[in-house]
Amino acid sequence: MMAARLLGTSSRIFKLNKHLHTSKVAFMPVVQFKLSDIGEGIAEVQVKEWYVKEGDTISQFDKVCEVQSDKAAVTISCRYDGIVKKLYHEVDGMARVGQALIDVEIEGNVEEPEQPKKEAASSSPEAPKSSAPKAPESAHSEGKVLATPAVRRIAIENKIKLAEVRGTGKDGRVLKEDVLKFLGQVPADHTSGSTNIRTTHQAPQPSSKSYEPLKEDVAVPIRGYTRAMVKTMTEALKIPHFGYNDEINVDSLVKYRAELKEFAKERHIKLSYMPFFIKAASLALLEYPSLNSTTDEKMENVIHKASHNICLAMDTPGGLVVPNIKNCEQRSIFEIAQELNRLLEAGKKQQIKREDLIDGTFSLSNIGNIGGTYASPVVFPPQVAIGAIGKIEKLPRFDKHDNVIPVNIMKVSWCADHRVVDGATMARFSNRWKFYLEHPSAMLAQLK
Amino acid sequence: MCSISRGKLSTVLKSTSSCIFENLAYEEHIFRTHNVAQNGEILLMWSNRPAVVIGRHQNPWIEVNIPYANKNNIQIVRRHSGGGTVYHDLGNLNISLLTTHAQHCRPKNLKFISDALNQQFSVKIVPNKRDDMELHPGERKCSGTAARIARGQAYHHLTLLVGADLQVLSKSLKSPWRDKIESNATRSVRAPAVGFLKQDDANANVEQSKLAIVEAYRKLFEESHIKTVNVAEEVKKNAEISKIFDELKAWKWIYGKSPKFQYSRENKSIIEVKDGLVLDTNQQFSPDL
Repeated sequence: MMAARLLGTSSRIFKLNKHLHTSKVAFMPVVQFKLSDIGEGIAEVQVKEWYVKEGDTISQFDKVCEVQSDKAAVTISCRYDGIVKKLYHEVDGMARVGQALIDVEIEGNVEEPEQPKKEAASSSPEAPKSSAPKAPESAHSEGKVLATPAVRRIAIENKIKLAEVRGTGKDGRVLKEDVLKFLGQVPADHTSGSTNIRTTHQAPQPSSKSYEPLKEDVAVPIRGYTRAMVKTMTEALKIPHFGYNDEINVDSLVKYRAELKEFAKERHIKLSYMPFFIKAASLALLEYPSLNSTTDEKMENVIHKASHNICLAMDTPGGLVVPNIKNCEQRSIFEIAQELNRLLEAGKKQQIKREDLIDGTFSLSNIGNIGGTYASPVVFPPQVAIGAIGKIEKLPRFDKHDNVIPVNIMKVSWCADHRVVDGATMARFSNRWKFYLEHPSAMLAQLK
Repeated sequence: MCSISRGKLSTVLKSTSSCIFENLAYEEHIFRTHNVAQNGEILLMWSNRPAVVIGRHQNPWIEVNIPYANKNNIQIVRRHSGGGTVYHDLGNLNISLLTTHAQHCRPKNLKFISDALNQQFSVKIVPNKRDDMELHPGERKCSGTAARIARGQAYHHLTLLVGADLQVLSKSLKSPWRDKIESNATRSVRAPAVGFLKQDDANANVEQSKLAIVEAYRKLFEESHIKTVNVAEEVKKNAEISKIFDELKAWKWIYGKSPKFQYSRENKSIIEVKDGLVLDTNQQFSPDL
């Protein structure tokens, strides 16, 4: 059995070696370095001077070329380390923003296909748990770690050897999530550095133990959604927040949602509680339009917005995103549910479009989905109000005959910009919202 | 495109030097070393002795009347920013605004500058679509603009003719060889009419223009400092600025940086020139060849 496996492996190695030697060049990924946005709505620039030529070694931040647009002379600097493979333009040629400027062969963390690979391959049957690059179809990944240039960049930025990351994509491809997980996993999984891991059944000796730091700190660059969050929250800090909390008896709501489940299914709509919360908020906002407004930069005007574009705080694989459902005042609960599902799906794939992110007027955060009762949400500038909805739990309350009964209770925490919103308005709005949720028939009465 | 807030901090630098090379070297140095995002924007101003300044990718043989300039002690200079050729003398005010690339907005700058000057003097300066500024009526060009962008930072600099000898200006900018050279170098766009502030308001002067512009600039920031800089000294004592100064003065930069071109001689033969040298030789190009 072992012999057969060894035999099988070595014949694979034999084939591989041939493969390895002839296609050594193909192992370095070539990245297209595109001309980034110059600003000012400029789409095209003229290349005036090259600082590199094909075959030159280039480092990040090195000058690549001079381009000119109208009156601006712009120096383009390189984003990559590597070898210049191709220049896409002649001097005086026109380069378009967003299109390739040069090709760079990146010095990556790719294993060179030399002797070490042979040893690694032959040792694989004996040590299936080795940390050498292994994927189910190891024939493909021997000597070449499959990963896109973007993933390689993240690896380079974080000083990670792609070979050490478990690839979960097709053919053992290392995906971005794999690298990110690896970054988080490092302290826990690392076997070679730490000798403090207990493998025996003995009770730990409390004698003098020296604690070495297990691993270096991992700097996770702030990118994408997190970066946007940093910006927004810094802005939000300027807003004096006040909070107003309440609890809602959602017995009726639970009953109605259960009743509607079948009907919703017929319409292929996934109906959670959120569409009810959103619609109730929109109805209440009709009476308190000052809460559906935005402030301008100089705090000279508060603009009461006509459309209720209600933002939902969404937890996506990339972080916190806050898309909004446009014109909730014109949508039915089912329609809101459909939009919500669309945004949730897009969020999971991190494909939320820009239109969905802009022009929000009011925000709701259903943190109760994950847990919690009361919360302190942060107003999303330039809006003036936000609500955080806690989980629904059964709690003892008194009925009108002073009996203790079980009631489905949900807590809500409103926060608003105290420069333009006063407590009384917030309280009345909350009462109205509560009323709609505790008496869904009131929503029914307003159906057009 | 242009974001609204201008930021918190800025510094106004008033140069005491009237040497174009010293000032351009100093300007380029702060562009390369001053971190705008951390330490705020900069407004640099100076005036210099007569000079003709060509843009980064231009050809001096096309743009400048070199014999006239040499005879009249008018310095010939190539700057780092793009755009066309301008004539400077002490009646001209040079204004340079250093910002981040994102905050770089030439129309915004021209607006606050023209507003300040229109208020200060009885003139009507209007920025146009080419980022020039013109005196109305007559659309007489009194200011030209250029920009440089690199490494996430940018400067917008412009000239402002407060008083000028238009004859000298027009003679220096008319090269005898401009029709004899074929090149892809940026060609200057000749303004149909040129003017200066004193034409419309005899009281206009460079000092007051400076004050008006500085006032208006400082209003855009929460905090603003003013410093007078002895640029000549800065160039001498700072090795990096010295290096840029030397580079700017070198033939290799002023003439050699011209994009390759063809020169048609009197006898109809053609000389090809690259890097300022006659092709395949080490001979510096000159129309006398």
